[in-house]
Amino acid sequence: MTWIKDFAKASYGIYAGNTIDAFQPLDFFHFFGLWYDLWLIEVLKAFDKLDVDKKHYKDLKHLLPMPSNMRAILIKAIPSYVGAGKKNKEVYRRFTNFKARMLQEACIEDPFGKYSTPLHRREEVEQIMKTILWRTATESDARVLGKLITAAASIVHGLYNDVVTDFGWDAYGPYHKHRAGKNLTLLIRDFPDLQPHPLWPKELMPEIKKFQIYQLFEKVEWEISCVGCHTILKSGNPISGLRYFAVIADGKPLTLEEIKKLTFHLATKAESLYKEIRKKDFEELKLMVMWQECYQLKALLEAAGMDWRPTAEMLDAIKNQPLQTGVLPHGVMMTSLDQYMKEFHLETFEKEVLKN
Amino acid sequence: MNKLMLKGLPASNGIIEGIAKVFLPGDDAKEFPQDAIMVTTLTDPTMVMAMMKASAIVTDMGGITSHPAILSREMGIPCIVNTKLGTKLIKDGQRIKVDAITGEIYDLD
Repeated sequence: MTWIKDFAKASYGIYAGNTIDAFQPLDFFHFFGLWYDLWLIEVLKAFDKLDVDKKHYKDLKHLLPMPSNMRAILIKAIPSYVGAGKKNKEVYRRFTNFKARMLQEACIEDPFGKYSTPLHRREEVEQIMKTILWRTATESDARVLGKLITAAASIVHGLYNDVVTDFGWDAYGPYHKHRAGKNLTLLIRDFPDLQPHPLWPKELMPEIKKFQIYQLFEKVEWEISCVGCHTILKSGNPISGLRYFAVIADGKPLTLEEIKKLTFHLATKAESLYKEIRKKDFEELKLMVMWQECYQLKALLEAAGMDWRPTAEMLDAIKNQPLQTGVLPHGVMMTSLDQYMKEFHLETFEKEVLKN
Repeated sequence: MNKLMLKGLPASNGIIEGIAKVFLPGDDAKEFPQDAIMVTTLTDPTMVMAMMKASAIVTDMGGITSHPAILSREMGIPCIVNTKLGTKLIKDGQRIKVDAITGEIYDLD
């Protein structure tokens, strides 16, 4: 029994009812096969140096990206095994098993995010409930927060594109809590790195490094489908159902006026940044995507005394190379778990890599 | 008489009537009227200012976890994705009804 079926049930939620032809600005599923195995070989050198196989998530947490990001890496790594010609099975086995174990230890109740991202322990949630300076919400406030999330998501889509969105945007919960006589749902949005200096010049990045949005809803049920940016509204109205909120940017609670200013700032930056991305030619886009993907594990590789940036061999592997074809079907809508497991090569991966 | 024009995937609940604005990547957000219904191929971050003015979003591409779908839910506005022909069939200034419960778009003119 491997972890892959549980992972498939959770990650299918991302693609159910979707086709895979909408990734921006590059169809990365047909790009990773050119070089992903070479990157994983480097990452495994860091695993050895840090002896990660003997360490628990809590000992490595500070070196790893957030849970949604680790799930997204699995989603990309598995098809890349096929795209890379089904080589280096042991590399893929060790890398994906490690990521799966980290998720099982980080989010015990729902490791792969079938319904949620329960990163916080019960006592940590209690602490959040007690220490946050909650503001009572109106419908107008809820719309302001919706626009803030839209602006923040847009700058994240600029900084990290569809490739590593989840490095810049996660969500935790939903946690069910009681406050002021009401049964409430706590949802935390986290934008943990809005200044990835190695990826972009300073003038294209926001003035803040990170911020979090804390929201308490009544009669609103959310699910987080595998990755934090894929929050799914199951029932209720998030505008009329928001009861309390707080926004904390670089450690400082924001007023409503400051939230509106931040929204405008992030939206302006997002437009400027993405216009720059639109100017890039194909070779530049490939390089950008490779750097973004490698950046996710910067902290881990640096802790191992390694350079996190693409190696010369990785750069050679993509230079003047077209995207691959046929790794995943374009234009085909995912309508069942079985179809998803087949088309995204999870069945093949389990049989050839995890069980072999 | 409401005439059914198009059908897509409902991605953020709600029903609204309004004036359509076909808005494509690279268009100037200043030209997007407040509370117009955005009709586009697929949203991207260059369109964020216009998205924040929109009363609803209709796209040719995408699924229920695509960029416009997620952000429409956050803003509490109706959204229909994957209409395939929205930008071809809906005209600037056309009065339309977006029923993002059924995924249907009606011509009101």
